[in-house]
Amino acid sequence: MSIAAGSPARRETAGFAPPAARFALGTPRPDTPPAGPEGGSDRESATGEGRPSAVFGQRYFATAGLVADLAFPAYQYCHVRQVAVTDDGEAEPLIRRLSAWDKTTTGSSDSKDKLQEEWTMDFLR
Amino acid sequence: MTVLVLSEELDPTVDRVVAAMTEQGVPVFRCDTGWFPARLTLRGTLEGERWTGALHTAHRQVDLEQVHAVWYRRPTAFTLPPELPEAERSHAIGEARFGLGGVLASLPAYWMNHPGHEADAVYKPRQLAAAARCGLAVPRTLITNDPAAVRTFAAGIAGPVVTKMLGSNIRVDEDRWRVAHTRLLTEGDLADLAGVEATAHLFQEWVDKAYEARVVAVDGQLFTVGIHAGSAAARIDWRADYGALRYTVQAPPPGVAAGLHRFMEVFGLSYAAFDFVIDPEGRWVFLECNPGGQYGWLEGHTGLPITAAIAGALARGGRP
Repeated sequence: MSIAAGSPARRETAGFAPPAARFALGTPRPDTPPAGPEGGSDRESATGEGRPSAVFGQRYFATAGLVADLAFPAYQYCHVRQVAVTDDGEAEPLIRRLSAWDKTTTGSSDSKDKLQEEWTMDFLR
Repeated sequence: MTVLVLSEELDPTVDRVVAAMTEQGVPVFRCDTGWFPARLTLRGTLEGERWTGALHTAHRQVDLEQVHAVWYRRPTAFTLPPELPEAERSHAIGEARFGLGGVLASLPAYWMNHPGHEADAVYKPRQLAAAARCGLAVPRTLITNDPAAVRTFAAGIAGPVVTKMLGSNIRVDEDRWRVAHTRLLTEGDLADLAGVEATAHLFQEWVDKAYEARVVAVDGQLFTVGIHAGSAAARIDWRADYGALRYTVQAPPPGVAAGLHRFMEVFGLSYAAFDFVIDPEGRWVFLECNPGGQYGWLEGHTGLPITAAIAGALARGGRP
């Protein structure tokens, strides 16, 4: 299948035993009043460049780019060779076209059962 | 005998390992948990003390009894029908996790890495304590939501202090993604600690760097690459400036190697990437372990045969 460039689905990785599962958090009871001065809320705290963050460590997040600008290469998955192949009719294994190796870092986001990746692969630029 | 590869479709590192195994004639069944349930079917039957049955797609099938090794490499989230109401969808995802995940996690195979072990190992506080127990030098570290504790810690360090994320250093805010690299705290930062109380934060002493190193452990082998920073940003956090890095093949000191082998045993890992600082006196200081860490670009720069080592370990089902 082909995948749209920067598809959020590509980032929503999660296995069947995510890190969060090692410190499982229960779902809040439905009758628990939401926190926050406005009765609240699941609104995000004010974050971002030029705005203060309610969390100390999050002051240091800097914008790395637009999600839409992440240019994942067009590909199809070849079920015969079990690798990604080019989506240009040649069906050549993608790794033969990539000039560089991947550079990513993985972390976890607790409670959301997701892994996140820092895609800084050369071929994404 | 078959190697089961659980990964997303687009992962050049996995492609290289799969290609290496295929060239060697090793049977491989690659799938993504994101294909479940629409494009991946499980039939699992408990026979005695193990699960039997099969996984199949429209294109291939593997008998669970034939799986002798599993490479768990960032498979993606289950894909449920979008028309399901959120509550049903969420519950169905849980059932998929416990069902498919439970059967696979029960396979008596060689794992690289077992997801449960990997999940344990990603917690930095556990890593740091385990690393110290394994004889590795670790930085003085504070984890707190108490600003007063930060001030006391910083005063006791009598030197620079950094803060870094305990988990992901990536955040996606609507249409843009944001990265937080290791932050060398300024006096201004320490004078305004508002927001420390909002959640857990990690603070560490700054360790002077001659250079850094990533050690990739694969089934008992250690592949070590020195990472030499050529910019101010890279000297604080090499991930901040890949273009300013130079790489050299290294060998860790024997004591560090022994500590890493013990660390791998403690967490039951067969693969991990470790990051170290080497200070001007040559002392290796453990920073963190990423049990799913990338190695591809290091192999590309140095030629270290890490892909071959992974393919070999999976093919033979680990060390004899």
